[in-house]
Amino acid sequence: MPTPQPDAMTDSVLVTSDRALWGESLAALLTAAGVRAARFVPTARLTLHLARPVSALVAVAVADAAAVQRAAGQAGAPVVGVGVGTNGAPARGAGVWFALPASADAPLLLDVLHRLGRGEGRSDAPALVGRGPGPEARASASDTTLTRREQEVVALLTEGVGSQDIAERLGISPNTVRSHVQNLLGKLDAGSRLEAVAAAERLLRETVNGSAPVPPPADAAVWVSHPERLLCLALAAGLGRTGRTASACAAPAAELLAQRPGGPELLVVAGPDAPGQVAAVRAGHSELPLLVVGDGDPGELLAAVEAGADGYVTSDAPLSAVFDAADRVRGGEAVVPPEMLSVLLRSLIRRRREEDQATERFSRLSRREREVLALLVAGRDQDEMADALVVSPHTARTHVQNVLRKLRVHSRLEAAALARRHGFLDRFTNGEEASS
Amino acid sequence: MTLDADARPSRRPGLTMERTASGGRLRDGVTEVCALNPTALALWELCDGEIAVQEIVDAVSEAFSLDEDVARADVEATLVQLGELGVITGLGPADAP
Repeated sequence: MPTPQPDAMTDSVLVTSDRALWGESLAALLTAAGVRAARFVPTARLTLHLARPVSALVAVAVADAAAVQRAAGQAGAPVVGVGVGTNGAPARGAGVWFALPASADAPLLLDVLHRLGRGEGRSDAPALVGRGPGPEARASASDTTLTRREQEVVALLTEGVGSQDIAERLGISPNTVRSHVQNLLGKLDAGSRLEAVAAAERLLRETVNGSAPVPPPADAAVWVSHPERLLCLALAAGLGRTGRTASACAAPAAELLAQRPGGPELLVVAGPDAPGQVAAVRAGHSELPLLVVGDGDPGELLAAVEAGADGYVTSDAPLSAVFDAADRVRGGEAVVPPEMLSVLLRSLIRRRREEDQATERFSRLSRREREVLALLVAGRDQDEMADALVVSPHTARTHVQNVLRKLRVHSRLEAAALARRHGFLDRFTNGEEASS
Repeated sequence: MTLDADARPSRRPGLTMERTASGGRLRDGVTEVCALNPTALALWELCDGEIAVQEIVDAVSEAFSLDEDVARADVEATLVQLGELGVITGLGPADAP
């Protein structure tokens, strides 16, 4: 085997994405790692740029993986898909495809690119496929794990969404939803969906409290938080091009801030649970400028604003737009994409109306019925409820029926979701809304 | 000038909106009526005859972390201008000539 040439892969690495921010950021990461000619090309213009030979094409945040695969195959370019699935049969005319999870670390991506540059892997694809931490997410301090899909199902159950709607929202069949729910009940040792939701919340708290990673360096002006390691590193590299020191967080930012009291000048949060992360940070850092990078979903924008984000940019914006938003947020401005402002204001108005309506319904509950609601949220069944309230099961059932009627919901799960969404139990605990 | 907090302004029927890099333009057929910045455009879009001025003030206050008085002043000034441009109606006494 010839001696590897260190720069063999640096001649022409293209990074392609539907989302300019991720494409530009990953190119910046590769450049920072010594790749001499890593360039971003929007997926829509990929074919044009593949007219010249490239040593590798890195695809990230690409919706139509098959189209990328076809274009690269026709150009004879191997593709490294970062967090882009290639399940199923290869597309017609497809070339070589290596899959890396977005949770992989940067050296793994560089290793794959180096090996491709040396001409390896064209016929031994499996040997080059990165394993990384994989898609399984640890759900508890014990060995219980929930797959990503199961976490999505639990999240929707927590919102009170029924099986049919879960199937539609996740694009899977109702039978598959039922199968996921059965798995969840088994894994969480729960007897009902309500118990499963309560158990999942407990496990999530254990996970959040379970580790103590090292925070970014003290001189880092910008911290970047994203649950997928490679994307987190990429965004930090992209933001680092402003001349400020930007560091990737190795864990949820709220934990790291607790270890570094001074904190950064700006925290940039991205990923599927960005609003949750923002809320966790805001609980202890009310003044820290916070910018969320999202996918442009109106619900995500609303959740980010409600959680306390100072700014929101979409990942289809170029890096320059993120630089601009970062500066404005650090200057004390609130930043919302202009084209999403109307949707945000309408969402806030709708949310406030729902809140007023829910508060009015909650105010109708007697003190006893509020206790029943608290037990429902805790996942207690009828007999456990009767024991806790020192009443007969029949009386407990009557209380439950009254709660459902007064809240105008159709199931115990829906009642619990409503209570969670509007913080009813906190109000009860804090003595608000004097009981009738 | 103080608007009625319960007023529910409406967009003038027949106008179309074209989004631009600096906000948007409102047209009546092929005639351009006005150009609006992003905030004014967003408020114009909210004027559906069902949303009250107070609700808009509350939403702007929350979205931009502004004191309610500041948000109210900004929202009212913008709505009055939109009324003067003739692209919304229903502001109550304020949009009377």
